[in-house]
Amino acid sequence: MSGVIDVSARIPDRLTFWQRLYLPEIFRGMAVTLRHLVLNVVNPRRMPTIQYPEQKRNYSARFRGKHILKTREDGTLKCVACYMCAQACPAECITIVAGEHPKIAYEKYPVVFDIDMMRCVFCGYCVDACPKDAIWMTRNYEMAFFTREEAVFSIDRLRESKAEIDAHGYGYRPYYPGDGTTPPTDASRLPVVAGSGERDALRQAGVALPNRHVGAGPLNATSQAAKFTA
Amino acid sequence: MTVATEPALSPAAERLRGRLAGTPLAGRCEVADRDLPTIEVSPDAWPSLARFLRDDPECRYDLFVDLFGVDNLRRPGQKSRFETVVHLHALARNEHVRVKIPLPDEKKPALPTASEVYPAADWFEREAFDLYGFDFTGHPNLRRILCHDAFVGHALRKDYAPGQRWFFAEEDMKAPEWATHTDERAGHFETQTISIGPSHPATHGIIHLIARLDGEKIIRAETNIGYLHRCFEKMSETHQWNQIVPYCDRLNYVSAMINGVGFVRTAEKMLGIEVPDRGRLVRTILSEFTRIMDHCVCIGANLVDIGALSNFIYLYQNRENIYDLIEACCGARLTVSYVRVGGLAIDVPDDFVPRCRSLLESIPLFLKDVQKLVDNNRIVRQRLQGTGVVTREQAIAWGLTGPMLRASGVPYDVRRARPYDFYDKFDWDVPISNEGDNFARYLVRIEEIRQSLKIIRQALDILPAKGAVSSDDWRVVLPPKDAVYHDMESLIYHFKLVMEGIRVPPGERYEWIEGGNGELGFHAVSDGRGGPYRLRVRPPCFANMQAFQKMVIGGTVSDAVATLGTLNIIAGELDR
Amino acid sequence: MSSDAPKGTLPALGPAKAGGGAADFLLTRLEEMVSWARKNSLWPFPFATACCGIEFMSVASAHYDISRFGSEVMRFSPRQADLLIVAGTVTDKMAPVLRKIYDQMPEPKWVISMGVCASSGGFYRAYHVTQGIDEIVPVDVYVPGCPPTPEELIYAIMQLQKKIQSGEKSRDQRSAKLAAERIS
Ligand code: SF4
Ligand code: SF4
Repeated sequence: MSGVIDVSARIPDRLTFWQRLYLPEIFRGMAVTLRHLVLNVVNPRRMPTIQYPEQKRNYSARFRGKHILKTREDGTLKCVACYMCAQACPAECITIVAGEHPKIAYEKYPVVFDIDMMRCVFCGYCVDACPKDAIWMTRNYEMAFFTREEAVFSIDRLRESKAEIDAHGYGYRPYYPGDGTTPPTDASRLPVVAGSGERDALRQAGVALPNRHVGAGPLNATSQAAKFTA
Repeated sequence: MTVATEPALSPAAERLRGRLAGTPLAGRCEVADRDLPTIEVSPDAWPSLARFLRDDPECRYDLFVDLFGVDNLRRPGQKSRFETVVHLHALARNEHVRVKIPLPDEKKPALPTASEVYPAADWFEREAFDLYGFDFTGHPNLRRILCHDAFVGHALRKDYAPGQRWFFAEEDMKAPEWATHTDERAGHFETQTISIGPSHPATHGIIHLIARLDGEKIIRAETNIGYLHRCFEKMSETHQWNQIVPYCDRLNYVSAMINGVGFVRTAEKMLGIEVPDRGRLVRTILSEFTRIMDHCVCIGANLVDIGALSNFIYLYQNRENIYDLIEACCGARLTVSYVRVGGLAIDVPDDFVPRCRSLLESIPLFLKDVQKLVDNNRIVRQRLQGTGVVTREQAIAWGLTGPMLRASGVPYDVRRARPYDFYDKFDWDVPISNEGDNFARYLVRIEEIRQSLKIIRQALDILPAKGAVSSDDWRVVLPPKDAVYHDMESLIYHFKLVMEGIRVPPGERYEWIEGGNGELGFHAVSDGRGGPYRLRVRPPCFANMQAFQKMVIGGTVSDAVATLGTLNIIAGELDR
Repeated sequence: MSSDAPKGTLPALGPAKAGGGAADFLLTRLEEMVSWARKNSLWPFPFATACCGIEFMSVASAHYDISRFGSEVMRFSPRQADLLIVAGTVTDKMAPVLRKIYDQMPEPKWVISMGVCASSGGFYRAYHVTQGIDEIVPVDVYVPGCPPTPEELIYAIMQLQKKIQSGEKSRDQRSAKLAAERIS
C-alpha cells in the first residue's frame, strides 16, 4: 500500500507564455505524428495495419469461432446427443434431436444438431460442457449471411472437415497440448462406453438426465424461464 | 484477504445500535449483522432514518451507493412481497451499511422518497418505480427511466414474463413536461430547446440530452436513458450462475473482465470457496489491463470529441495490443467470458508472463506520445480546464464514484478502501485532484493507467509459475476433462453441474470492487437453486450520468460534449 | 425471375440480363461502372449502440483501417451515407430512432447488421430487446459473432461489395418493388 498523489499539483495550472503561443505546441504535436509517419515509411513492418484479407491476424489456438463436431475414427460423430451443450448454452441456440444409433456401443446420436449462428454468442460454454470431447471451435470467423435462415448450421456444415481445419485451424477446445492444460490420455481414441451402462450409473447417482427424443421446439425466453419457475 | 467474513463488521453494527438507541427512531428499526450491518425500517420512518444516517456525527453515511427493489413472490418466509434495499457508504470510515424497507402493501407498494436527503437517490428511485412499480411519494419526477414510455407492467416483478415485449412507436415518445412549452421570460434572449441524441456522435453509446439554451448557455437539461436497456437483471434470473458471466461482460463492455470478476466474487463469497492465489493474481493482472483499455478508450474518445484524432489512434493501438494478450488467454477480444465461479475457465498460456511484460514496455510509449500532444496544448486546456466542474461536496452528494470522485478530491478507491485479492500487498498510489474539472479527470485517468502498470508489474513478480487457477471443489468448478472422459465420479459431478448449475446456499450478499468507472457492486439473492433469485448490479455509470444534467447547467453545448466524454459513460452499464 | 418467387417473399433480383446491340453494351458497361464506383465508396453511418460499436471502432482504427475499402468516411448524418451499419443491440426504445435514420438515408442504401444482437436479439430474449432489426428495416448482410471480429465485418463488407458489383439490388429496393406489386 502506499499513499495518495495529487495529479493536478504536479502539472502547472497555467501555461507559460511560450505554450500559450499556440504554434510551438502545435509544432511539437506535429513532430510526434510526423515521427510516427516517418518511422512507418522507413520501416513498413512497424505499421500495425493488418492487410486483411491477404494477411490474417495470428489469432491464438483458443480463438472462439465457428463450431465443429468432432468425428470418431469410423467417421461417425462423437456426439451422443446428451443435451449438455444445449443446456449450458446461455443463448439457447443449440437444437438437438436424439436418435438410437444402430451400433449399440454408440447408444445415441444426434439426428438433428443445429446451431443458430445468429443467436450464438461464441462463449464456448458448449465446448466446456461436452463430456465426450465432441464439439470444438475453430478459428474460422469468415461468416456473413444474406438471410437469417442461412445462419442455422446443421450437421453437414458443422461436421469437422479437413479443408476447413487446413484453412483456419482449431480454436477453443478443452485442452491444448503443451499450453498449460493437459490433454486427456490419448485423446484421439476415447473409449466408447458400451451399452447404456453410463446413463444408468448417472441415473442412479441422481443426475437428472434429459431424455428428449423430440427437439426442444421453438425456443423462446419463456422456455428458459420455465426451468426456474417450475 | 481470506474468505472468512470481515470481522470488522460487528463493531459497526454495535455502534449503529448504540447511536440509534437514544433517538425517536429506536423503536421503528432493527439493526442486524449480516454480511453488512443491516437496518430494517418501516417505510414511513425511512426519510428520518436517512437524515439521521447522513447527519449523525458518528454515522456520517455520506455517499449514496444504491437503491433497488426485491420481489419475494417466489421466496416464501419473507416479511412482505416487496422490499426496497438501500446501500450507503461512510467515506470517513470506509463502511457500508444496508437499509431494508419492507413494503407492507402488496397491491400498491409505496414509500416516501429520500431524494431530498440524498440527491443521488433520484434516478435510483425512478428505476425502482419503472421495474417494480414502487411509488415514491414526494418524488419530483417519478417517470419511467429505463423502459420505453409505452411499456405496460413492471418488468422485474416475478410474475412478469421475461420475453413479454411492447410495441413502441415514435408517437409514444414523451418529452419532459418543461420542454414542451417555451420559457417566456421577458426582456431576455429567446430561449430554445434542443435535443441531442440518442444517435449522435458526441453521445457515446446512446444517450438523449434535452437542453434549454439561453443564447449558447444551457439553463436547463435533462437526460433520457434506457436506450440500451437489455434486461440484464431479468436475464440473470433466468440463467445459471455461470451462464451470467457472458452477460456481465456486456455490462461495461469496454472493461469486460472487471465485471465478470466482480460478479463471481459475490457468488464465491456466498459459497465460501477459495480461489487459488494464481487464479486471483491472473484475474488481478487482466483486470488491471482491462482498466487500462477502459481509460484509453475514454481519453481517446474524449479527445476525438474535442477535435484531436491522433491520440485516439495511438491509444487504440494499446488496446489492440492488450486484445492480443486477452485473446491468447480466453479466445475472444472483447467479450472475454474468462472467469467462472471458483476460478478461471482455463489456465493462461505458457507465454503469459513474457507477453505481459512486453505490454508493460509498450504502453508507456504511447502514453508519452499522448501526453506530449495534449498536456500543454492550449486548445485542449481551454476546452477541458474549468469546464464540467464538480466540487467535492457535489461529488459526494451526487453519489459519484471512481475517477470522477477522485478528480474532485475524494481518495475513495475500493481497491484501497476495502482491499480485495492482493491489492493491499502492492505498492501503488491513488491519484486524486482537487480541481474537479474535465482536465483533472483526464489527468487522474492517465495517472491511473501508470498505477495499473505498477500493480501489474508487482503482480507478475509474485505470480506462482505453476499451479491451479481454479478451486478443486467439483460442486462448483467443472472437473478436469481428462477425469470426465474416464472417471465415473467426475462425470457425475460434471453432469450435475451443467444440468443443475451451482447450488449457492440461500441468502444474500453484496460484494463490490473498483470497476473502470467506480464502485461496481453485485448484490445477489439466492434461494438455493442453480441460478440467482435476484441479481442487482450497482452500475457506477448510472450515478455518474445522473450528475451530468446538473453539471452542464451554465456551460455551453460544446462544454457539455467535453464533459460527457470525461464521464466515460458506457451505455451497457448505464442501462444494463 | 420475380414471378417464380412465392407470393409475399422478396423477389430475388439477379444481375441485369445481358442484352444485345451496341446501346445495350454501353448501358451494361455504364451500369458496371456505377456499381464499381458504388461498391468502392460505401459511406457508412455507424449506428453504434453497444459492444459491437467498440469493435467497429477497431475496424476504423490503425490495425484494420477500413479506408482500405473506401469506407472510412463515417457520416454521422444519414443524409450523406449509403451504408447503415447497425452495430449493437437495438432495444424497443431505440427502434423508432433506427427506422427514422433509415428513412432519412438516400437511395440506394444498404444495411449491415453487425453482431447477433442486431441480427436476432442474440442471447437477450428479453422484454426490451428487439429480436432482430429486420423487424424494423430490411437487412442486406447479417454478420454473426458477439461481437464479430473486425475481420468478420470487413469480410461482410466485401461480400456486400461483391453483391453490389454483380448489380443485385439492395433489399430496400426489392422490398419497395414487392410493396408496389402488392398494391397493383
Ligand atoms: S458458443 Fe456459447 S452461445 Fe454459442 S452455441 Fe456454444 S454455448 Fe451456445
Ligand atoms: S452482439 Fe454481442 S457484442 Fe454485439 S452488441 Fe450484442 S452483446 Fe454486444
